[in-house]
Amino acid sequence: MKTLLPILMMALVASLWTSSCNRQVQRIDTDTTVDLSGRWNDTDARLTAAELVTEVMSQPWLDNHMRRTGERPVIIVGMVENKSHEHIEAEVFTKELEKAFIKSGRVRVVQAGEKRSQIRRERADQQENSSASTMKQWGMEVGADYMLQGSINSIMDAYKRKKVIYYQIDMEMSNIETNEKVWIGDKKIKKFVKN
Amino acid sequence: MKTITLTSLLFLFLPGFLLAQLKPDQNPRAQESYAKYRQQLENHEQSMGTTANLTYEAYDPILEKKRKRQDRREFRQELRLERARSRRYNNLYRPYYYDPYYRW
Repeated sequence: MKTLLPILMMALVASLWTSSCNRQVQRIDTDTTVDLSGRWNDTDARLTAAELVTEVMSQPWLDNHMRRTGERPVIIVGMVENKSHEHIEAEVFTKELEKAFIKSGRVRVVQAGEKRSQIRRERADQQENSSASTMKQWGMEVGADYMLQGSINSIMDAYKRKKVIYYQIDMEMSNIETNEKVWIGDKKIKKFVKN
Repeated sequence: MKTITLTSLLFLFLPGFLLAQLKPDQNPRAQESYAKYRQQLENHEQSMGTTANLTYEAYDPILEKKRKRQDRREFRQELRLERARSRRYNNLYRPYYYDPYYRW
């Protein structure tokens, strides 16, 4: 019995050690809601994107533009300011908006930011290296009619082990020529976290 | 006089010539933009087909715990080393050893 006891103890320790280090990873559906820490997560981004897409496509600004000009509006995505207390990547939902615009076929989207600069650099490179028939021209870009901008704000209230977090995501579309705001949409998310 | 006339003629007709080269609806200041981007071509080819890793460190409580533990260990190690270093100069047999006034 005396000799068996240390062996049993060692086996127990070994089993505990291996079970604690056994990491399990499984793929889950991207629509599944999993809340772990109470911070901003993929579900929040998805809900924001869904609501903003529904709002932006159903508001009268689109029909008004079509009626006035007879053409589809052209949109450029500007900056989204994150003034919240967390790291929130706005591109997750701005991309969803762009995707909805393009898929609908009712709105045109032009490239912005560093990607646009890269395209322009490539065009500049083509002026020196491509054949005359395939070289793309300067000054033929499509000018945007509207710019999409936004801001993310958050308010947190905590007491002992309880926490309430409120996020407000505001997106707005402005006419580049007249500065007129033609659409404002928002998504509000409130969470109660109990530790 | 001849050169002045030629220069003035050039200035008169050059914009017209350039405009004639423009396609319909082409931006008349397109060449300015081209000149600007032409100067940025140095690193253009290196950036093609590559990935710009604009990553950020996400908050992970387990990693945070590990980092804090590591920091504490390093701090204690430093403290031990510092104590050993200062002890070297302190002669235990010196009188008034425990008096801070006589410590080096």
